[in-house]
Amino acid sequence: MNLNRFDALREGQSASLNRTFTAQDVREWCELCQLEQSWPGIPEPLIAGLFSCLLGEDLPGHGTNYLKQAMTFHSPADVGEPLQVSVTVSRLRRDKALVNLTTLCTGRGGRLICDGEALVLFQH
Amino acid sequence: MNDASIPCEQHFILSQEDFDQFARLSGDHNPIHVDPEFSARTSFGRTVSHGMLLFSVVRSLLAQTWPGAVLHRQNLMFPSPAYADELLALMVEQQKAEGNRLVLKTTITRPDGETCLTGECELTLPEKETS
Repeated sequence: MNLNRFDALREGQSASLNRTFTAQDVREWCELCQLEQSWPGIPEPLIAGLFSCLLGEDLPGHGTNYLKQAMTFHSPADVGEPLQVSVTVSRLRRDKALVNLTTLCTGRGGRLICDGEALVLFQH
Repeated sequence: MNDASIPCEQHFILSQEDFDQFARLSGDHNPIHVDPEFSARTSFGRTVSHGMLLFSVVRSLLAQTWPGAVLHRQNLMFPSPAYADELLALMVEQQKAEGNRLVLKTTITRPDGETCLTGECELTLPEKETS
């Protein structure tokens, strides 16, 4: 088990991204999962996909093995609404190469869309 | 009580094109999902689905089964990877029903019996129209 990159992680470390979904994004998602109905707002898996994007691409980054995600959806996100998504390291367990992170998505004016927690294995 | 048919089951197959499209939608272009040559050199041996693409299939079935229901809470675990071009089985079972609130357990299984996704979610069904 190579823990060089794990050992560079710190509790409290955070990564974030901004994203605005279009009506076309939502149509493509509906086609992708063969859903023949219109969707009011942004489907929850697209919000969850932004957490996945941050975890896999940024913090911890490539080599991340996504084990768990818990989410509470407080309010639907709207098409065209600027979203800010962040993940923050909340706990490091070196003996198992496990990283806990809090995950957050907020919308216009900072309104709460979704919060939750992720667990990933990071041993590369 | 609701009248939807539970448990319900759906079989589906994901393709590399589906992985590529979810990568575009999410921005997650991790090579383990989109680069077959890179993935051949990993312990998985080939590309694997984004976990949230599996969640997308779950969410779609929930929307088809309970149109208009609001998803409040979702827990997900991804014990084993899901590969392209394999027949996957999604099972939705009821854990609890109180009034218009429904707690469901969802499972996606590979042909070899390994579990790719287990989830628990809480839905609120739309109020039934009274006539």
